[in-house]
Amino acid sequence: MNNKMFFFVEKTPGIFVDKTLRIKSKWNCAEEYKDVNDFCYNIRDRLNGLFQNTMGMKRSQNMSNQEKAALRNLHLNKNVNVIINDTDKNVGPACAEKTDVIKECRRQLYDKEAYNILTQEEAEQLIRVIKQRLSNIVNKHTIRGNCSNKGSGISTFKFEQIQNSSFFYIIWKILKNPIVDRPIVAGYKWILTPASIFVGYYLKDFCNKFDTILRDSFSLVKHLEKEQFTSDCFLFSVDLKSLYTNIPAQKN
Amino acid sequence: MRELVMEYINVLPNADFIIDLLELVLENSLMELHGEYFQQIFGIIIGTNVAPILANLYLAKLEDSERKNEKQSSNDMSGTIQTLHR
Repeated sequence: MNNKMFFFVEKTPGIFVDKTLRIKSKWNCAEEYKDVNDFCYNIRDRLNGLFQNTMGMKRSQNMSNQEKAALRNLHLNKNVNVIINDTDKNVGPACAEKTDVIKECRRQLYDKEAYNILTQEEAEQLIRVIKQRLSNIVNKHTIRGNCSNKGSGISTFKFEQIQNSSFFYIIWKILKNPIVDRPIVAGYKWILTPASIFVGYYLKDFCNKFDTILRDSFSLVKHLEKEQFTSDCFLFSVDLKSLYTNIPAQKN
Repeated sequence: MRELVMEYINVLPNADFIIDLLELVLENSLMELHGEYFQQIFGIIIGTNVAPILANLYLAKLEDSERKNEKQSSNDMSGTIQTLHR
């Protein structure tokens, strides 16, 4: 069975061929089921009917004026009283009171084991030290010859483009009950971002050396499809709480 | 991590450089929230590009070493699970 057949079939009268529909995958199923086929043909015909009926009609909004005004209001006042953010696992936007968001961020950041609170002067001092160390490292390795042009580009990165720090924020995990949050740090203009990208580029190769690291969820599915399990096999999954802040960086 | 990169030093000509940079990245972070500044002092710095890769490598290494232990002591999976709990 090929999912194409539901959209592009020979052009006999009454059969739905619409170029505006896009087929996402060219998946072929080895087996064919009458129920599934009937279901899909039914969808096709109903869609066809819908298109035929609404074609040429003037489009109207499906929101009431009140709803529209409320949405506009929300948009104009975002980050004033409410914060609209993405959610974990991409399940749509979430809206929260600003005070709640700040309270939750503070709760996370005031964890003395994982974070240090710095004053503005200390932060500026830290940035100076990092800049110095970064250029020292790059110079040292340029002299030794194990730093390519690309590597030395890290320190000549335009500093004026840099924001002084990364931003901490949270996204809600609305699938959990009670709702918890995931801390995110956006550091796309941090001084060490180019260095981090550079290192990541090389370290990625090491991941391939381990067959226990999978590229993504889809490769897991592909793996499982190939595998044959006997009845005394059992599958389980393990999750780690706060993985990043639990890996001792010093030991690395 | 250092020992891992050193294992492949022949493959990676600039391993020293990578290690130095990695150290710098992991030791220095600065994040801002509402005018306050914070520095992460424990764990892999959240938000760096290397964080997911490092986390993967760390777990893979952990699994490797646990498997070796398992073979030596012919223990069951409980060893691994205990380690993960720590």
